[in-house]
Amino acid sequence: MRINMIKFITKRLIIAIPTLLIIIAFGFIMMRVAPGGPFTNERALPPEIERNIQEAYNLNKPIYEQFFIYIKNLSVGDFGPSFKYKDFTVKELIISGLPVSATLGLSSIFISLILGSFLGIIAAIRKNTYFDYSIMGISLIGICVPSFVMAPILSLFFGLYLGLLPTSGWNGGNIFNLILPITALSLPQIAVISRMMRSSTIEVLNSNFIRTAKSKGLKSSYIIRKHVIRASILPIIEYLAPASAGLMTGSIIVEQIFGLPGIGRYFVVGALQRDYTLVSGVMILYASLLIILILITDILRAYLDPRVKI
Amino acid sequence: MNKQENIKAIEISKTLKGRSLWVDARRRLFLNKAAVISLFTLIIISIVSVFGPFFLQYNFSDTDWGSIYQPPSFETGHYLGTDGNGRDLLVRILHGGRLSLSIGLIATFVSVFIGVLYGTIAGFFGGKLDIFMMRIVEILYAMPYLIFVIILMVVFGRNIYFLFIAIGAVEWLTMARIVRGQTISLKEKEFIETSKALGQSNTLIIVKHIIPNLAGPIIVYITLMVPSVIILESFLSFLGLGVQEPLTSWGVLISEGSREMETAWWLLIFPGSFMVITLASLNFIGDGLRDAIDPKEY
Repeated sequence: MRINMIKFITKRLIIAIPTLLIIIAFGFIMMRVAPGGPFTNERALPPEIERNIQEAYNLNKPIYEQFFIYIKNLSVGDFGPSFKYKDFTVKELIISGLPVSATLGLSSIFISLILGSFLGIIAAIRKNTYFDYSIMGISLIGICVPSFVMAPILSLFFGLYLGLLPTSGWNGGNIFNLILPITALSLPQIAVISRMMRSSTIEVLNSNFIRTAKSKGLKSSYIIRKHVIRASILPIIEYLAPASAGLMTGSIIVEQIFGLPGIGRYFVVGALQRDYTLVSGVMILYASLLIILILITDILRAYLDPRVKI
Repeated sequence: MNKQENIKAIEISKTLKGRSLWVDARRRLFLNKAAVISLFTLIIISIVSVFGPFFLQYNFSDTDWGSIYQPPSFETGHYLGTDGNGRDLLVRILHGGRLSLSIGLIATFVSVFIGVLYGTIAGFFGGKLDIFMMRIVEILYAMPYLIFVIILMVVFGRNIYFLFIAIGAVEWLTMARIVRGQTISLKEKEFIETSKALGQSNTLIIVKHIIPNLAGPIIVYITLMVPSVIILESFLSFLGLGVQEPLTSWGVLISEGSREMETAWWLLIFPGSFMVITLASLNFIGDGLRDAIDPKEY
């Protein structure tokens, strides 16, 4: 078992590392191919100064050597200077945005996992009652209303008409400023997760081992806690990586609408203003997070589900 | 059975029409109320988007400084109000609908084309090629594809035709997986063996025998992919990376509306409802089709 697990993890790592390299290469090529660089001036520099600049930034070396230097810099967390925010490096921008985005993302995924699974299980247990129908109806709204429609409506209604919550701003992570963004971010995920959880719980409830447990006379609350959830949570764990990808892209929108200074905002500003170093830095960060997450879910699934071949 | 009974049976069978799988599927689809209503709604929205602008008195790019931020009213002829430049919202929504729907269709077509081709080749030839091709899909799956599209738009400029291709180019992965799985199970069937024995070329077998038999899952997947493509386009346009002025799409309108919702709620609510209704209809149709075409599997 142990050895199998190690073999499994190394196999996954063998896939993950080239993926990351391809993404880094993509970012690197993008910066090289894209028109306009930081030293493209209307007035030509004297050749000796230009040579000095090129030497200082390793631009005179062959391209593959530059790529290695880039990777070496990345491995110590150096993404290079930002083209647009002149006084900052990309690393500084990411570090300043990370707490905001991480707070948003982590609390959203936590809330949507707990709430989504809980609602899904209850809907499955009370299948075809009004409770079930209303949960599934609401989750349909969550699926059909994209976050960029939901977020402004929420802010319009709760912020402006009712005046209960602030419509925008970070305010040092004040909890009231967080409620609306987190709601807008979690709703679609809660919808998807509750639907998945409902159908997988129904499937598990109809299976033989649950019938056996029932015929042994176990209490139904005990069966659900001990047997049903462990089996029906598996599709949700598999969904964890796509959900996080959804939250990453969703947070780009939500940060934009609620004016939060997170990584997503920098990404959009960078994309609109062609700040190549910033964009590729954020892309590499997102991609590595996602790859790590996929790795974790694979391991978690293998651990929870004895049927998974590792 | 004697001879006469035999003849009778043959005559009866001539008058009876056989029901094909597709006829059955259609019957099941039309029994599904939600799907029928959605289909109806979707057809109406498409027809109104395509032909509606011809019957309205305003043009989608006409600015009227005399009527800025007019609320919806029947008297002025601005049935859904006007925006900050005095442009009629209804015409703009319909124009946006044209663009959003056509992006949905074209980008889906691009991704289905790539996905089906890729999936059938990987599934049909199998072996090392299959492993290699699917490994590529697996690697691409790990990429945050939306961020990828954004970067493509940054590097190549915000060209609308490029938008079609960029969205299509990232959405084909799931299609390829589904098609590959189906192809693997199909290629073991007798009729494929027969055509191989008859000496048909591989290309012909794929085009003539495998792809037609994949129609069911492909159609179901298309109806589920169109809404996600529409959302993707609106997402990009919302951020200002998709469709550019003076052209408009639902995403652009929603983005404008969300910036000006404090003064003019209709700029957000109406484009938003058009989009949500379309997405909901597409989802219901997709669900209905899935139940109709493949009742046992789901």
